[in-house]
Amino acid sequence: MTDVPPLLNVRNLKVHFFTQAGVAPAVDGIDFRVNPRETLGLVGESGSGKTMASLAVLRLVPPPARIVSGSIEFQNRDLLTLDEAALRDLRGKHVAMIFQNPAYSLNPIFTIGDQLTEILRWHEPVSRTAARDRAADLLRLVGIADPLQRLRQFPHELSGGMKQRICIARALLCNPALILADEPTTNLDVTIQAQILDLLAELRDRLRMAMLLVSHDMGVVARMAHRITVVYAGRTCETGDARTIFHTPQHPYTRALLESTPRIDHDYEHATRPTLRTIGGRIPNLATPPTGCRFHPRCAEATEECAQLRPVPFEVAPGHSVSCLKRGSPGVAA
Amino acid sequence: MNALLRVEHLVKRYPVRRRGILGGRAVGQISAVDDVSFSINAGEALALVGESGCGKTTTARAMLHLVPATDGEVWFDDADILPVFRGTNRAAILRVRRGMQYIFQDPYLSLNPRWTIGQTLREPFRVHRHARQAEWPDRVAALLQRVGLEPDHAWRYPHEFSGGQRQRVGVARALAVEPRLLVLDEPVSSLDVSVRAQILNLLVELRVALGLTYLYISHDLASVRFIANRVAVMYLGGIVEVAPVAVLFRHPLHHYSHALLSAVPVPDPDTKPTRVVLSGEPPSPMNMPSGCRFHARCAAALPVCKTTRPPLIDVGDGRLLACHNPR
Repeated sequence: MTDVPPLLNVRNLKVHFFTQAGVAPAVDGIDFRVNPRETLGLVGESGSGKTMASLAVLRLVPPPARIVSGSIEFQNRDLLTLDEAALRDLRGKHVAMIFQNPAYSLNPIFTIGDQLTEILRWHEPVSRTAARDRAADLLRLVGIADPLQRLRQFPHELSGGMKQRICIARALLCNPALILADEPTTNLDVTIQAQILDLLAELRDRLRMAMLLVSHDMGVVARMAHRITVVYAGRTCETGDARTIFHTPQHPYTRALLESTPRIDHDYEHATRPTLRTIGGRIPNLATPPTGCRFHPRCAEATEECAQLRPVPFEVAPGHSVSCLKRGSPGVAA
Repeated sequence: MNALLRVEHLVKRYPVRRRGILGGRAVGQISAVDDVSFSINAGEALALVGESGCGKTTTARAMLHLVPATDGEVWFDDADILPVFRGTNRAAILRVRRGMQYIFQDPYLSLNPRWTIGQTLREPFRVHRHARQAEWPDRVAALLQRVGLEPDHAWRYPHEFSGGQRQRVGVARALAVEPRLLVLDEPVSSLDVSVRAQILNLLVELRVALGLTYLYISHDLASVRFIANRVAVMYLGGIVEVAPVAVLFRHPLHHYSHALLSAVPVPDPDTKPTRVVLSGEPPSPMNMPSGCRFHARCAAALPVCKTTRPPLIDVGDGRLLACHNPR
């Protein structure tokens, strides 16, 4: 898939928070790429910058954060230089977003129908009834029974799983080429999460969409993603196809992340005192990030140079790149 | 083995009122916990799992009289404790409370932001008169070290700590009165993966080292598999299956347990999902279905499931099951 031009190409993205206490580089050089019809899992813990990076794609980063530098190319257009009118045309039509909390991303004072048809009528010259029919079709597509009735309802009348289905339908209204899904199932119960993941996977395949799936849950990413980019404290650690990341991860952080997660398919009973691998220390405060490699204070393999030099992504195998001095990455003075 | 804790036919109902000028009137009730019975042996970790709204937290709270139970009995160390809580003998109530302590889900909300960690940790000693005042500083220092913090941390405030450290403080506070049973209500679900592993390891280590008994409440089944010896699966206010952890995870017999376990995504792209997708969502506990609570969503439901509630019976292998037509 590497010779296909990417649908979305994000390079050296930097999003900084400008606060009274100083500048916090929340995203400080993240690279990722989404190929057509492919799902990229963007994985990291809280504070890794994964959500900011996905918001930056639509230039939706909230103040006091600002996109400082980097490039975001979508269908060979640089999104960082587009004017507002072009952006409005892009958002929802070519690139749509599904947020973590469906309760907050639906407006409580408008009906479901109002919110869905508004998007359609904004982007396309359609009549009110045609828009309503299209909205009803989409609700049917996301597995909602009795769609015409639902269109007249308000968000508070629906359950969390139902609301997330509606958010998915809303994202699909204009047949976007790319869906940005930020922790789409984090607030849902596991059985509902399974329903929503199945639905997303089916629709993505049927409608041939690409997806950027932002998640902290390795299980969800394993289930959905073709390729994975792991981020830590605002920087990319490792990118590879899903199987490589899970079976032969190279970056010490990726390894530690996988080994510190308890697994449902692992039997801990034989050990009287089972232990999980832990990552010492804690996630750095981004107002004062560590020098050199961001992970070095918590890394078992770190040496002197890791504190001095910032590793740049290095391709250890075709399609598998790692940012770690111990894996051959060249270092630049940070 | 002797059960440290026995919960028998615990019921917690909440009235649903329609608001009116004169205080309103009851228009129905929600059965949050509906006839729940289980027991925990000394030294064991029992997990109570289920989805949001299934009544797992309410069960734990009713058990400790943090909400008054509607009906049922709780036996702790062969003493019937709910009448003690309902009574007015403060010394007796405190004696029971010293035996069982609660660790809350959110370490950000369960610590007083205006108290230093030392003040927070001295409070149980003061309330329970558990140690002489002269010993408090040493006790606090020992507690902090026990949970992997520094004695100096006693002078700091909660906002100076990360989520993982705050949860360690929560654990230290619960350990202050030397309880035998800890009720852990989603203790790691607000923590990040790397920090979660530290707390899970700490909990396992403490249980072994101090001989504690755990009631571990969680919807995170992977952490349950790591920490628990036995698992009770709850659905809509009732327990549907109880079994040793390996038995349940290898071969769940109740159709709901099976659906729940198979819904958890496995962190391995080569694992084919052999998933039973449940249709629909749990019914409202306000109008509880007749018969088996799960029958409307169950693929194997028989006519009898609609009319008769299956009792929780012993089916061998240490497993209790409430199902007319098990897998």
